[in-house]
Amino acid sequence: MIEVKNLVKSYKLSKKKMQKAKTKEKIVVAVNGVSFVAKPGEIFGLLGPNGAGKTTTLRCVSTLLKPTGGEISVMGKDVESDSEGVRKHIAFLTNELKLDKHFTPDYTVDFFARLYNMDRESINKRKEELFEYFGITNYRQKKIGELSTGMMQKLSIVVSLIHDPDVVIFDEPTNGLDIVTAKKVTEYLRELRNQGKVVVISTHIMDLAEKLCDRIAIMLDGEIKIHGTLQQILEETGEKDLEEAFFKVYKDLNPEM
Amino acid sequence: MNQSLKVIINKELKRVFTDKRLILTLFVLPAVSLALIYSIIGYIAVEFMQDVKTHESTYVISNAPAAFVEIVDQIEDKAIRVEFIDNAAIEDYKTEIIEGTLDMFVAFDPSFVDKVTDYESGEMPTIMTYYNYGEDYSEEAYQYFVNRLLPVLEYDVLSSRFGNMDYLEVYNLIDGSEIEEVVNKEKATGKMISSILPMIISIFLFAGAMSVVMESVAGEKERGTMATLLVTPVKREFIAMGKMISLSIISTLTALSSLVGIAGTLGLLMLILPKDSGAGLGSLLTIKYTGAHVLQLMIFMLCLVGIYVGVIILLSAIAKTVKEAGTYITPVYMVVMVLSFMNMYSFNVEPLWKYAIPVYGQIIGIKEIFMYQMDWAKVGLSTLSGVVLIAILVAIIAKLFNSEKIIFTE
Ligand SMILES: Nc1ncnc2c1ncn2[C@@H]1O[C@H](COP(=O)(O)OP(=O)(O)OP(=O)(O)O)[C@@H](O)[C@H]1O
Ligand SMILES: [Mg+2]
Repeated sequence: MIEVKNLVKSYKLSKKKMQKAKTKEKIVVAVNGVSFVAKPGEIFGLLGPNGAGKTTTLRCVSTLLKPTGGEISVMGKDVESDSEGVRKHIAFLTNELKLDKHFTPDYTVDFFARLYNMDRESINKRKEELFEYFGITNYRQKKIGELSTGMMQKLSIVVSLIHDPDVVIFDEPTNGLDIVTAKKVTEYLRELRNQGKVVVISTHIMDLAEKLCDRIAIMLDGEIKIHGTLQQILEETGEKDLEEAFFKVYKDLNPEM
Repeated sequence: MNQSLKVIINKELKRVFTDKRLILTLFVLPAVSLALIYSIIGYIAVEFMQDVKTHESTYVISNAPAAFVEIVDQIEDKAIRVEFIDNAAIEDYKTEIIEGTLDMFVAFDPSFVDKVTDYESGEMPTIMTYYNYGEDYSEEAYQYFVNRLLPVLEYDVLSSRFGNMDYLEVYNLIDGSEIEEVVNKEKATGKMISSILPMIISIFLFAGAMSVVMESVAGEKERGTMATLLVTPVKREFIAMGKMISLSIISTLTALSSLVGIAGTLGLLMLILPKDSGAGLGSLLTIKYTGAHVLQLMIFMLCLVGIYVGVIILLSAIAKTVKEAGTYITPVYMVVMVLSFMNMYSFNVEPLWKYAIPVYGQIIGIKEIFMYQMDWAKVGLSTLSGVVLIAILVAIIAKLFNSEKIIFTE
């Protein structure tokens, strides 16, 4: 279970970044009072355009960023006071997390598994399962640098899941993947949900949110504007699909569009 | 050892030792290029020493006994020029010694012969020597006087005593060079190699650590692999210590490979050059070191490596890219160089408190080992200060790895 209460996260901008963003403000509020609960056995989706604050929210949940305000607990553990405890329970995938290109998939997975204190036997069993499912078996002895982008991303997924975590947090999990591979990933996320895991993803793809997520939160400008099951969102907005619903919310905020 | 710590150290070592390019740049190239440089330096040094050996040594000897004058007359193995003057005073020859026009002044006891003959009274005559031991010609003249000329005199005297074993000592040999200040330290060219070693060791250790640590910390940040590690529940202290230990091992090996390159070259020079000059080189390198010396040297080097690696990790962790890390580390490298050079020409024994200064303490420690002046109290104090600093560095690094600023670089 993930509980986020009134999460606020602001970044301090360096002079260079202020120039780049053409702003005089020293502080960017990326997430502004976000609350949600993600439960075991469901896929929770953060849906929003670029810059909405999805990645920032997920980084706070996975302890890599410290919240400016609000509270987050994961499996009953507080992200600030027990960040190690939280990290034991989660898989976190985001495209900034890279693997050393010099090593092989085999070694890399072993390395991370041992950091989770897994024993040899369970490492091998789990590794075979995941390699088999994601089609890495034939590439396991190659250097990661020689793998295709998609293969690398699948390996990152395997690495993140090696310790069989209770909570799976994937930021834009299908970005850059072809439809076959993307389907493999979404199928696996469903499988995880059916096993009773907490699954949270972020995406800007309406279709993915509509088909994959049990509950959706539409995020705009660092705030959750509306959330619920697809059905609830459509009813509340009076629209017939998620895209229409999204634009309705968006237009309410940006009347000039 | 903690499993995570072991796993991290293993990975770091594997990263380097399975990469042909890294092995080449970290271990092979430095050794080879230094071997080349040192072949040249060694060659020049040997040439120089041959010159010292063949140089005509000049002496002024006051109140020499007749037997000694005779010994000097019969010398054939070396060109020497000796002026025998009765009741000469060192004051009149000081400047000549400092300027190098005179190599050595010797003053025999005016009643040398009487005291030697009347040996049973127990009063021994003295022989005062004055020479500029910072200068090679002068040093050579002294060595020749003490090791070649005096023993002949001693033998003559002893054989005249018909084997009376109670009086084996013939005279007191006292060197007054220090008191009379005839030593000109700036000209200590002959001590070049042994004085240059502490500096070279210190600088190599830093240089060896620099590239590999920047790659392993700033490089990992830049490439996004550090963030992946930070998502795992591993304690930040273990990441910091793991990096510290593995990178120290690699840096030490890099520095050692450089030193092996130098030592190998000098060894080779000794083998292939004429025996005489080779021996000269050998005496400069002074192979009189004991196990304790080697142990002390290892301790100092490990402290230095730990401190250097810690500082470079720290700066690399703050930097976002390898390039940025380079701009932070270069000034520190300069400071280390200055600290290392500062001691090159000082041959004084340093007071104990200076050993409490990290880096500086270790460098003067290495210097004093080469001068056979080291003692364990100094080793202990400097190790303590080194270990305390390293512990502080590890704590700061662990804290940094916990800070969100170092996790994401964009
Ligand atoms: N490290 C940072 N420093 C300063 N500002 C940042 C930083 N990271 C993100 N921001 C700003 O915070 C806001 C939210 O960014 P975030 O990456 O969370 O959005 P997102 O919803 O994930 O967008 P995307 O779909 O592009 O991934 C943006 O305005 C962004 O410019
Ligand atoms: Mg994002």
